[in-house]
Amino acid sequence: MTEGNDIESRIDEAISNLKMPFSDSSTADAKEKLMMMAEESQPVFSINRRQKVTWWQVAAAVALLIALPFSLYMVGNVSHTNGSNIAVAHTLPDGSQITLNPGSKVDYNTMLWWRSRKVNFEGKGYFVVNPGNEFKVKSPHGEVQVYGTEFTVWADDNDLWVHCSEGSVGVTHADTEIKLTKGEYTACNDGELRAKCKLAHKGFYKPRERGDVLEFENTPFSAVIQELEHVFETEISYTLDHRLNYSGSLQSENMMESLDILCQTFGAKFEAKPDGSISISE
Amino acid sequence: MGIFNKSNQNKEELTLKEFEEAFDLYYTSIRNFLYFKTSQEGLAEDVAQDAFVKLWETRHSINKSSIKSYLYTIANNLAINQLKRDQLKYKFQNLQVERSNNETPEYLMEVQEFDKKLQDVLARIPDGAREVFLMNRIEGLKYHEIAERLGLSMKAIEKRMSKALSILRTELHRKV
Repeated sequence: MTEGNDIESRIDEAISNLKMPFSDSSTADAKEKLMMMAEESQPVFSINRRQKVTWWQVAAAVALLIALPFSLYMVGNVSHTNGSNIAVAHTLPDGSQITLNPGSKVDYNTMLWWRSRKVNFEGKGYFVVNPGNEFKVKSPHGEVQVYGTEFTVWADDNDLWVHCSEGSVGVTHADTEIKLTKGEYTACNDGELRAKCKLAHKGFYKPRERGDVLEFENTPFSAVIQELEHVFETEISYTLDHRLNYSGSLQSENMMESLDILCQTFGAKFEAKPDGSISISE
Repeated sequence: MGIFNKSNQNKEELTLKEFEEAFDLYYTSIRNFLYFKTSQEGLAEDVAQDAFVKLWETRHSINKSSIKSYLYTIANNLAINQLKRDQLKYKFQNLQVERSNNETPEYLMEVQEFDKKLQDVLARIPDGAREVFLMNRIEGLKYHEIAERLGLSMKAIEKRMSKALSILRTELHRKV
């Protein structure tokens, strides 16, 4: 072996024994420090400022901005119809409840609900509204502005009936508003909003099921007829003065027996017609 | 090298996971390189961490396939600036030597003396040649690996190695 080679092997031997002065823990500490720095500096939304924005990206963003409200509206639309033959409760996004009579329909938008509690309604429903911002019920013949908590809306293509069970509600038709308090009702018939009437019987317009006893106390005859029409799902015509009042109980299970009791009170008689409708006369 | 070679991901922003992977892959060798270059333990660690901070700061624009050479370049530049600023002189003041206790005291004295001389000579090897030599001898990196990391040609690495070995041979032969 030459002298040069000897030196080189001694160098290699010496160098192979050299040890780096770093500990494993110092590497782990450095990693922890750097990862913490990186995590803390990560934005929630990362925006690459150097990225070029192309015309189609701008166009897509504009289209999205235009389409978004419409999409939200479409996505949030809810329509519910009670297709069964019994009253069914439906819960609204804020927890308010509507008990829908058979065939009644309600629709609203869940995406817009936080801004405006508004439902479109047709049929007969009993509303129990939770406290919160403005609550409106729109029907073909008027709007119900809710100030209180419990009320009945009975709306179809021809009429609107509103009865307030708790708190107060405002019924608006053609720029006229009637405010109802507990126990009052009003109706919009033939395109005109009627003066409010007091109903002594608190639960008159509460949803009923077959088997319930229909209790009336000093209730207008016309209102009793309306109630019987909806309970027995038939048309009832009458020649009696609609300003008459009725107090008493009727059975919701037996139409003939109920009509018999009602007619006896006013000395009237009733007749079932071939088409299934009922006629009451003096 | 895992994810850093996938060309379709090279243009995307460096993720936190990829940053961690880069640390696991390169931190130790970057820190060692800095130590070979500066002989300052604390400085090597600080500058290595600064290089990774710079990497994270430029994560939006970095080409992932060149992370390794990017880190070495940053580390080298930062170290040069630091050495200039502090006017530090290279000296392997903390390099430890592992020796077996089974050797005779005379032998141990002799090798200790050689080690000291070796470290003195290493300190006199010019910048560039010294870290290349130590990367090869201590880290066990091949010439092409060193060339890739430092962004130099193979020829430049061979030249630096040759220079370092020549100085070591000459100086140590004279002293032995």
